[in-house]
Amino acid sequence: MKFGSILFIISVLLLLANSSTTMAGKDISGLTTQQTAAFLNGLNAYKNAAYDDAIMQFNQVAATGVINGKLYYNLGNAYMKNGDLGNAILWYERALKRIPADPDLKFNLDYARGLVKDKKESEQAPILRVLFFWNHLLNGLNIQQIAIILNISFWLLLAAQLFIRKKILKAPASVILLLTVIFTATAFYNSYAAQYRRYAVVLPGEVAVRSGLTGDSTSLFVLHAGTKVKIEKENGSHYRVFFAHSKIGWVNKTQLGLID
Amino acid sequence: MRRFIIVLLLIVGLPHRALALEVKAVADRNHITTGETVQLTVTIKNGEGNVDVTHIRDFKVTSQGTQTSVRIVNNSVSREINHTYTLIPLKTGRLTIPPLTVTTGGKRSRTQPITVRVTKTAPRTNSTSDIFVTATVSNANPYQGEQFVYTFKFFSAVRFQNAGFHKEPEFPGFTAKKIEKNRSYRKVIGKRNYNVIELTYILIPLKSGDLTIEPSILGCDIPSGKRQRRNNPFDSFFNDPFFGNYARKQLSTTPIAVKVKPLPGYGGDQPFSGLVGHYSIHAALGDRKTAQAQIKTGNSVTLSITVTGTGNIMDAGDPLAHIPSEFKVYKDTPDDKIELTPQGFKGQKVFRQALVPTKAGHYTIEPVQLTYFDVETGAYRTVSSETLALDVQPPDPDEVDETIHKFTTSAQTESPALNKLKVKRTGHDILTVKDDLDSLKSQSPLAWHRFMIYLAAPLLGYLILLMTLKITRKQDNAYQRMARRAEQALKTAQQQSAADESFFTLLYTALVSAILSTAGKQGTLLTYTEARDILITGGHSDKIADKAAALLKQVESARYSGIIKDEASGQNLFTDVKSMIRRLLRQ
Repeated sequence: MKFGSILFIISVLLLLANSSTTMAGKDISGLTTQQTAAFLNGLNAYKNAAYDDAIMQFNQVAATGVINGKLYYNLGNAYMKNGDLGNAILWYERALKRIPADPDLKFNLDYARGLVKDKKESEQAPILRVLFFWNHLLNGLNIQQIAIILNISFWLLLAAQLFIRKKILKAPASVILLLTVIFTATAFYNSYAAQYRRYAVVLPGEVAVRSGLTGDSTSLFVLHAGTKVKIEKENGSHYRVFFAHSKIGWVNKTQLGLID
Repeated sequence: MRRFIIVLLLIVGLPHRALALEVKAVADRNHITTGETVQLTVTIKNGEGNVDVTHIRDFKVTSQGTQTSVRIVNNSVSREINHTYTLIPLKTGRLTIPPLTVTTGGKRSRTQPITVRVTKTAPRTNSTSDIFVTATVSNANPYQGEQFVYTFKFFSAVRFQNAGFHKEPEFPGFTAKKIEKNRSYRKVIGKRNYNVIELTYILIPLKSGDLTIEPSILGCDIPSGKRQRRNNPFDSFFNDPFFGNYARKQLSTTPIAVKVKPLPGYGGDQPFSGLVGHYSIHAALGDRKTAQAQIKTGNSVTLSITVTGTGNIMDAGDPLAHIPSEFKVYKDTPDDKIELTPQGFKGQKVFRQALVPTKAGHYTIEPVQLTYFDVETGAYRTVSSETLALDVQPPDPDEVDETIHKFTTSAQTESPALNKLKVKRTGHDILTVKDDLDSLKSQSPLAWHRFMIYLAAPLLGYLILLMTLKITRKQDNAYQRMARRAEQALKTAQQQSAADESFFTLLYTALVSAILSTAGKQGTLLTYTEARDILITGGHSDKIADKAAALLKQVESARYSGIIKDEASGQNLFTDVKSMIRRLLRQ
C-alpha cells in the first residue's frame, strides 16, 4: 500500500511538471510556421537595410512568447542600425541574460555602450564576477538544468551505494552534492533577482530624472539613451530609479525599457 | 650624543627666567653690485615664529633654511632661531629691505628696515673678480615657438670647492631642455686666466610677450683673503687654502628679459604645420627610397615622407598626402631621430604608410607640401616633396596576398617579412545578425514549481528504492538465514556420531530452522502443532506436514529421553531429517 502511494505521488508530480511543457510545446508548434516566416522576413529586411521592417518582424516573433537570446540580439542589431540606441541596448541586455557568453553579443554591446553619453558611475565589483563566474557564463535555464542533472546524479550515486556497499562512491557523491547545492542556490538567487532586482534602460535620447511624480517636479539630473539604471520602486506610472550614489529620482515608465 | 643629552637636561632642568622676545634683521652687506647677492638673517630670540618676507619688492628672495641655537648664561637659557635668505637685487640704486613682520604666538614684532646700495657691475674685461657667473641668451627677441640657447657660465680664476646651485635656472613660459654635457674650457679676460664651466639650455617660448628668465644663484667656497699673524713656522703651512680658511660665496646672474614675438597671421592655402625653424620635406617609395616603383595589385609598397630640419621638429604632424582612391592605406607609427645639439633641436621625423593598390594602372602621387614658419626670413614658407610615380601590374593568378603581413612597422629594420604589423582598427560597426533557426527556441527558465518538482523527484525515487529494498531484504533475510542455519546444523550433525551429546540437538535445530524458513520467519523452538500449521499454511500437503511434525517429535524425544542409543538408529533418523529438510527447502 505504502509503495503504491509513493509511486502514485511521483507519477502525479512528474505529470504536473511535464504538463506545462506539453502545453507550451503545443503552443509553439502551432505558431512555428508564422514565427519562422516572420523571423526569415526579419533577416531579409535586415540584410536589405530595411531596419524598420526588420524590427517589426523580430518584434512580432518576440511577441508570440519566444524568449531567445539570439532573437533578442537580432532585435538589438536592428535597433542599432536604425539609430535607436536606447532600444538597441535594451534588447542586447535582454539577450545577455539568455546568452551571456556569446562573443558577438559582447562585441556589439560593448560597441553600443561606447556610444552612451552617460559615464557609468557604479559597477558590480569585479571580484563578484570572478567568484560567481558560472552565473555570468550560463543563462538561468542552463543553471537550472545543471542543478537538476547534478541532483539526479547525486541521488543515483546514493542509490548505487545501496547495492555496491563500498565507500568508493563517497568522495564523488560529496563533490556532486556540493555542486548541486551551489547551482541550486544560484538558481534560487536568479529567481529572486529576476523578481526583486530589476534593471531598465533609458529609451529616449534624453530623460529628466525628477524629484517627484509630476512633470513640473524638479529635474535632478539628466540621463541619455542607453543608460542602465536600477529600478528601486514603482508608483503608478513612474519608477524610482537609481543611477549612482546620490543620483536617484523618478522617471516615467514609458521612458524606460525593463530588462526582463 | 652625550653632550646633546646634557644640553637637553640643562634646558629642561634649569629654572627658566622669563626672557623678552627679540627680533632683528641683519644684512651681511650694505653695498653690492649687480650680480652679487645679500644674505639676510632674521633672528628670533627667545621665541618661535614665522617671518613674512612678501613685502620685499626690490629683491628676489630665496630661503636658505633655518638654524636654532641655545645658550646658557648665568643659569638662564636663551634660544635663537635664525632664518636665512638670499636676496638678489632686481634693480640698481638705494634699495630697501622693509620692516619684516614676525609672528610669535599671536604676537607680532617688526624688524628695522635696511638699506642696500646696488651699483652696476664694472665691465668684466677690467674685472679683477676672482670668480663670477654670467647668463646669456642667443636671441633675446625670438618668435613664439622659435628655439634659442641660454648659456650659464661660471668663471673662476682661483681654486674653489663645494660649488652648487642654490637656485637652479628656471624658465617660466618656456619649454627648456638642458644639454646633458657641460663644456669646460679656459679663457683669458683682462690678462687673467679663467677656468670656465658652461651649461647650455635650449629654450622654446610657449607664448608671446615680455618674459623674464629669473636669476640663478650658484654658491661655492673660495679661499678667504684674511691673513693671520704667523706666530710660528707652521702657520704658513696650515694657512694654505688646502687646509681650510675658505669662505662661502654666492654668485648670482642678472635677470634676462626676453621679448617673444607672436607669429604673424597666416592666410595661405596649405594648412600651417605648427613648425617653427627651418625644414625640408622628402617623399620616397619602397625600401630603395626612389621616386618610382613597380608593384602588383594586392601587394604593398611603403610611402615614406621625411621631414628634416631644425626647430620644434618633435611637433611635426602627419603631412597630408593625396593618395589615389584605388589604394588602401595603412598608416604606421611615425619614427623620429632628433638630436639635441648646442644650437638646438635638429633631426628628422619619418611618416610611413603602406599603400595597397586594388587596381592595375599607372598612378602619380602628388607632391606632399609642408608649411612652416621660417625664422630666418620671418615669414611662412611652403616646401614640397617630389612627385612619385607608381606602376601597378595585375596580380599573378596564383600569388598569395601577403600585403598586410609583409608590412613593416619599424623603420630601422629593412626585412619586412620578419616583422609583424600591429593590427589597427579601420572601421567601427556591429557584428551582423544571427540567422540560426534555433533563435526561435525558448530559453525561458523553468517555472518555480517545475524546478522544485524536478529537484524533489530523484529524492522521492531514492526513498522508494530504499523502502523497497528494506522490505524485500527483510523477507529474504528471514528465509535465507533460517535455511542457512538448517544446512549448517545438518552439516555439523553429519560429522558427528549418534552418541555425541549434541547430535540430536543439531538435528532438532536443522529441522525447526527448515520449517520456519518456509514461512520466512525466525525462531529456535516449535511445537509439533505449530510446525504442522506452519507447513500447511505455507502450502505443503497434510501428509508432508504430518510427517515433518512426527519427525520433529521423534528427534525431540531422542534429544531429551535418549531412547536411541545405537549408531544405526541415529543415522537412520539423520537420513530422514535430511531428506525432509531437502524437500522443505526445495519447495
